[in-house]
Amino acid sequence: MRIRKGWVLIGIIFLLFVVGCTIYSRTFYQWNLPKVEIMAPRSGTLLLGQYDVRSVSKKEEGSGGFTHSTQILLPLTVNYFYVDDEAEVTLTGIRNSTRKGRVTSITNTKENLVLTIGFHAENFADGESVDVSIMKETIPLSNIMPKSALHEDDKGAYLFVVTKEQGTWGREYVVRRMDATVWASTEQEFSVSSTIEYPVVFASDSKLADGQQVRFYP
Amino acid sequence: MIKRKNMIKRKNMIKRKTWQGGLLYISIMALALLTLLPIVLLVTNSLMSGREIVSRYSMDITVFNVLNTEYIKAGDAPFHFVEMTFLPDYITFYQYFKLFFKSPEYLRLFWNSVILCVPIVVGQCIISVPAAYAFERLQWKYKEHLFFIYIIVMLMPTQVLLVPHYLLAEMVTLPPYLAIILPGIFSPLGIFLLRQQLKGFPHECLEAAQVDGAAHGNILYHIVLPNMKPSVAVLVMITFADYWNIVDQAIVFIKNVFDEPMSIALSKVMQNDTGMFFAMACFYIVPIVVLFMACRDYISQELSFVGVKN
Repeated sequence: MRIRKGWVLIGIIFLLFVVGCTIYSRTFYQWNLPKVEIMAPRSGTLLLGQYDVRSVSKKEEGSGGFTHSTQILLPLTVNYFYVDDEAEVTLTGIRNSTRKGRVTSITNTKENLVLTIGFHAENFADGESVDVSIMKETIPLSNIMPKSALHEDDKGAYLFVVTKEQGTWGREYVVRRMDATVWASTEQEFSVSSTIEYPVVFASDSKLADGQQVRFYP
Repeated sequence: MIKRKNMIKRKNMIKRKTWQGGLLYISIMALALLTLLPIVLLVTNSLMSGREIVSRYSMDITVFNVLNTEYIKAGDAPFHFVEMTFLPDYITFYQYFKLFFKSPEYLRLFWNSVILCVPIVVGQCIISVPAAYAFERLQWKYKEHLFFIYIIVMLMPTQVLLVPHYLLAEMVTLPPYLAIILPGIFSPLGIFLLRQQLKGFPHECLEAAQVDGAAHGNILYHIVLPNMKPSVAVLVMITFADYWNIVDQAIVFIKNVFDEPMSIALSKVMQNDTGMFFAMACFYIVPIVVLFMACRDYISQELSFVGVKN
């Protein structure tokens, strides 16, 4: 009367086999997860555009004395400048001093957007050349991310954020789709209007899907 | 002449007995095979491809079973009957390969069951043996009253005790596994079973040991326990089978799907990943079969000695 050792051995082999399979499949699974790079959105302003143009000044006599203005031509795609925006006007030549100017009018031609910038300058002749520097920034924003984090499909723009969720083998990193409305964007960066509480994925080595488990680049 | 007649009569009787015995044997074998059919079905079906299992057993209409669909009346949605078979169209071990090498989530279910069962079995063996000995051999007040309560608790269905267990676990904020394991360890079945076995144990041996100056601990460890191996084996077997197939307690206590034991998850696998079901079911029965086969001699002895005293 004894415990059958053969069956005990089979039991031990079976258990060891399952342990081995568990370690292997877990490792295999972990290694084959998509790798992602994450970032926290930054705060700040977005530089919508900056132009440095050399132009010719125009001197006109008005009710309050002489006024100077100059016109610069920008691409038609530029749509963020408004009347009263500030510009920096550098008087060239021997004066070489900088004055504050303002956009006084914006008109369109067939090919260009024409910004007329008025500025004050004493004893500045008509037809002299000036360097105009004009730039436009957004108001301070809190969710600025690189453009690579933005995805778009039929339902609109969305981001992938990484959350920590309870998975099969404990806490796992999972990407979740987060629909977003783009508030402002440049060629490199964009900002969304909603609050983002999780790290945003801005690079991955394979296509991601909502609910997919991921791991991070080392 | 009479002698000859008797001999012929005896021969006929033997012949009849042989014929009847053969018929009985065939009937029993047929019944045994009938009871084995589900297991045969399980094993052979686990060698089917996932596609075949889905087309045969799930309700989905796929390109592989669309030709077998039926309509109750014109305009109704098509359906198909379950097409049970013992022989797969193609034999493949892919389901096992997938189970062992590509699905860590299913292996996790197996370990969940192990984590749940092993502490209960070990704990119950540790608790039940001395408790049964104390009930049988030691003299103390209200012993029989307490044992009566034990029997009452044992006779109660699990479902009746679930609510008190749940409330208690909530009150002391026990983790789900512990809320199942602790009542399992202190289950009265083991104590009852071992005490009944101890009743048949020759008391002279124990008294002789006591006369020689052995303490109760020594008697238990050196005399009682070696002679109670079959009972402990039966207890291990029953407890393991009971908690390996756990359903009620696990459904009530375990909220997280990833912590569920295999017994609960099997039904979900049938719904969510039909192709894996048979392979997983085969995997599920292996531990209990191995345990039974390892303790087979003890269990046979214990069952054959039931009711025999001294």
